[in-house]
Amino acid sequence: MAINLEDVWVGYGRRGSYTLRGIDLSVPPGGSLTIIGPSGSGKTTLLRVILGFLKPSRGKVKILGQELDEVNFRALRTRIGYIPQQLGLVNNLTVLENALLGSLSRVSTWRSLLGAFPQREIDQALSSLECVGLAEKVARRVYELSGGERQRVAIARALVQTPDILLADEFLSDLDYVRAQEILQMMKSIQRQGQTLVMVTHDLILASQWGERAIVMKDGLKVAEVSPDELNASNLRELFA
Amino acid sequence: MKTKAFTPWEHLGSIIKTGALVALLLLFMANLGFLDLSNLVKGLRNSTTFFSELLPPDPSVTPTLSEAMLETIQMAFVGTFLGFVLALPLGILGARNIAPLGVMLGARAFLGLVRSIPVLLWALIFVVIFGLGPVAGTMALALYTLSYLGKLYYEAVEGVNPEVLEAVKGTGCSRLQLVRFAVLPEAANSILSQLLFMLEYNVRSSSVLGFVGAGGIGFYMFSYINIFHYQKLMTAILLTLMVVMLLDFLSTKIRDRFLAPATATH
Repeated sequence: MAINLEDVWVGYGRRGSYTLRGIDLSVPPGGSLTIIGPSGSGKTTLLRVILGFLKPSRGKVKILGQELDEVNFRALRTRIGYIPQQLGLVNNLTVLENALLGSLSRVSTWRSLLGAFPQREIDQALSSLECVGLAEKVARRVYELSGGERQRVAIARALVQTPDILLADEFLSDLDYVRAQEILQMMKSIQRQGQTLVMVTHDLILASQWGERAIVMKDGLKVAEVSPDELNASNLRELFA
Repeated sequence: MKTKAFTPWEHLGSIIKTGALVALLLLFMANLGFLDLSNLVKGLRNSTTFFSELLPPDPSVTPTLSEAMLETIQMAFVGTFLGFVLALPLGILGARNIAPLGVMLGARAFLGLVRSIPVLLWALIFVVIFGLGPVAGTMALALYTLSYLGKLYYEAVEGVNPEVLEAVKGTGCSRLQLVRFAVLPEAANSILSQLLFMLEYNVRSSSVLGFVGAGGIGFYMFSYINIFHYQKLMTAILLTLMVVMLLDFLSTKIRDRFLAPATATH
């Protein structure tokens, strides 16, 4: 399994207060999963556990066959791409430099500190930017771009990383419908290249159009695991009742 | 919309607290002599005499003062640069979101220690070490810059959007790469703004350092005060003002040229 969680609990603050409660989850290599649920249901926490940013209070997390508490986090992170909700782009860097961030784990520290990235990494970053339609804007600073363009830079950065698993957290939430569809198609084409994709959203329409499976979360619990075409308003009303 | 009438007893706690604060302020002022009317009147009379003697400025000392001003600018520039070079790494090492706990505490303790000694005292210490002159003043400015910029920098680094840090960490980068590609670019606005402010501050500050023999235009200011040549002092003040205003103008231009607008979103 690319991602395998067994009875994962995450506790914050007061004793007995859990944001994730007994989550079981498995995603095969090359599979795609949508995590849907209302705000505060634990979707982002679940993503942060998979990323290794958050240690579960109990339960087992296996990423790419390795137990999370036994692996070198840095080595693991090189194999997981992440697109946060607010994209996490570096404003004072150019579009190309932001895309090149995806290659940092492959470039020696001293070489990258001097900004002397190997030509093959630059070529890969340029080709990823071309793939997301930003070839003309590589020299622009990120803060000069529109919302949709910024989303595409974040995708390009993840593509340059060539991760085995790509996690995306509500990253389409600020986009209009047309732009969101465009980005979604892009994500589908990435998945066809064999990467495992996990997308978090609270948008029912987006969730129903994407992924092979979907899990529905509420109050830190996985309340259902369904196929995307089963995601409709009446089913969710029933689940959230 | 209907507003509720003001009822003093509902705000009794706040009224008592404000009253206590005002009483404390008045007590301190009385202790310091601020409520001594005869002293205040005397001070007012003296200041009128002093300010009338400042005018008009004496332009005959402009060449001498210009040379001293150049020395002051050089002191400020070198002092700020040396302080900055040390403050940047120490500021990063003092940031909770980047450095391990032990390193962070060590860096902060060192900066706190240097900051606890005022710049004038540093100047005196360096006058003892290096003798009278601009080297002592420059070293004092460097340490002062290091201590203040170091503190401002670790606060700036801690203010970097955690989501940006996580996104870049998520690529599997090393700690140094994280600093180079996320921390420094994201904190660049604060780093450059505070550096430019420090340079401007050090130009003014190095004027005072001349009072303890640490070089620059301050030496002349101190001499003119001692021999009651207030019109020459006024020329020195105006020259300092001009340089500070020029630096302010240049700072604005540099910020506009290099930095992202503050409104840029992540």
